[in-house]
Amino acid sequence: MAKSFEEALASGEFVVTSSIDPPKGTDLEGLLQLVQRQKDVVDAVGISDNHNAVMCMSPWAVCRVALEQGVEPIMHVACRDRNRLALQSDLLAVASLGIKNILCVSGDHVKFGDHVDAKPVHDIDSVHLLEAAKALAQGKDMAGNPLHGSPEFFLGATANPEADPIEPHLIKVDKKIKAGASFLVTHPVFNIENLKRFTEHTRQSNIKVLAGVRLLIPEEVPKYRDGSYPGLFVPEALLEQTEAADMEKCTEVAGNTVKEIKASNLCDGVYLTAPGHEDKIPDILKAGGI
Amino acid sequence: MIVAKRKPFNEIKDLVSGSKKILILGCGTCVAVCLAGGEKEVAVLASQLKMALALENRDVEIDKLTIERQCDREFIEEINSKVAVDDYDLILSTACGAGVQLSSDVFDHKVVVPALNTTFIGVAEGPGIWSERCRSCSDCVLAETGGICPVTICAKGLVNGPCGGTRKGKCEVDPEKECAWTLIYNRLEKLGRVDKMEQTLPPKRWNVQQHPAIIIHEAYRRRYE
Amino acid sequence: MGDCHFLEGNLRAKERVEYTKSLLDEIGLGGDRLEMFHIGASDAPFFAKAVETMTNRAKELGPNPLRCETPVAEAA
Repeated sequence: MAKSFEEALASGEFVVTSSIDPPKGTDLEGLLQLVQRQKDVVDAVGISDNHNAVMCMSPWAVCRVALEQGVEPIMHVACRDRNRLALQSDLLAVASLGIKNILCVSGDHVKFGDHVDAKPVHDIDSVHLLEAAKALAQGKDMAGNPLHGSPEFFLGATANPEADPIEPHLIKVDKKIKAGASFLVTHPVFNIENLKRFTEHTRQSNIKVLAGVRLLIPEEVPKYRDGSYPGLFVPEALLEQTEAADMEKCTEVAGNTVKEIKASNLCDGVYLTAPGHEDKIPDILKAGGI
Repeated sequence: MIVAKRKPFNEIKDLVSGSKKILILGCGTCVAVCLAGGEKEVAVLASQLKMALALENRDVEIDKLTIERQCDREFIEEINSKVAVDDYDLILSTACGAGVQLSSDVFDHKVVVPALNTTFIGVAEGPGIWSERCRSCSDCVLAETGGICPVTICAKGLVNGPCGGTRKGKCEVDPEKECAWTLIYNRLEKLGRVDKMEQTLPPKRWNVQQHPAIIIHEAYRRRYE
Repeated sequence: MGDCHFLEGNLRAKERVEYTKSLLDEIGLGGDRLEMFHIGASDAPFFAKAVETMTNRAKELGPNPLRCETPVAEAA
């Protein structure tokens, strides 16, 4: 029997995960195909929650579909769109659907998306969300009320080894670990030195780290430059290289990053993102020697 | 203080069109300090309205009066001894939203309209520039954050920040804006109190103060019970 | 510019004039009817030029619709 995501991380093997954005609409056809293509090459698939504040289908439905296809999902939950009542309700609901892996995030600001007049909720932050999920798993809600039936979760959070300055960020990461995160997914990594500095800090705890790797493409270079993608900090040299590259070269570059991260032995796996080009993920892994 | 900004001119002109005799009622406190609704601004607005309406061949009589402030009844009630309020078709108040409402309450038989949009609680950073500092959340955590408000200054209002979007110490939402939690970290470091930031702050209690809110000072409790 | 006998006076005046021009634009009268020129006390030629500029501008803009009935050209 295939290992679960949690088991894979615990086993010490290099874990491979990818990311898919739910559709803007009810048409799941394209997503199903992506899931099928990635099924045999990844340990789990992350399903984002109104990523970049662009309105899409709620991830819980997509996670359920993924489960039915035999793929283990990691569900993102953003604090941007729901208050503490709705967040806890949703956590209970997804647990009842068999969704266990939860990635707690603040959420990209609404200004990046397509509903810029929406009211950002942020009733609680990602640290509180981790605490809440942990409390639910222990049979109590945030207000201390006992539950009729508790969920089971494997909790994670995000981190950014490329953050500048890094110190306040590391303090926040420690809070996430204390709050109940068992794994961290990083924003895309471009500089192994920064990853090294980051994992040296996280080594103090037993947290599992999945390093983010993103497929960079020439059409998007202006957006990488102007800060359109929150949390994505691409070094100039890499931007220049990407501008002149074709898809094959871009895939190769991403694959090399995967290879380099694996060889460095700094972390427990990778989390691949390729928005709009998720079909390339198997190719990236192949280029990465996985 | 409360910081407000004068509404777009044409919007104000539309509010007073159709009136033959109006009173522009100014306020000498917060809105005077932020150059939006004090005596000088009332004078300029009166001039502008008279000229703009004249360009449309409309004549309107405009009187001006600026009082100490419009958030205390005593100053509003004094107006009766200075002008004949009943003679006006409309009162254009350049107070903040609170002042407009109290003036409306005192002169509840008159149409009272606002000339300003009330924007925030803030401070003067220098002459002519004001910044938002407080969201009146009624649950102040400034002691934990080195005197920098995460609810106001952090775009996501995180009480445990930063988020992953900090870009060279700037906020992901606006590269001109400082990341609040970078500011907080730097301030705490300067004070030798980074341990404050290492404590997880609990979720905000958004309803510790019900809204609309009323505060009665202890010493006056009996008067209102 | 900046060479004011009262140190910063002419710079502050410039800001006020710019602001007043915007107030005139706002009401539809036009900020062009107001202008500030920085002229050295002994610079007669530049003064004459400034007067000429504004006279021409006044003719172009026509009488202030809020006041004058007599066209400027005839008055001159």
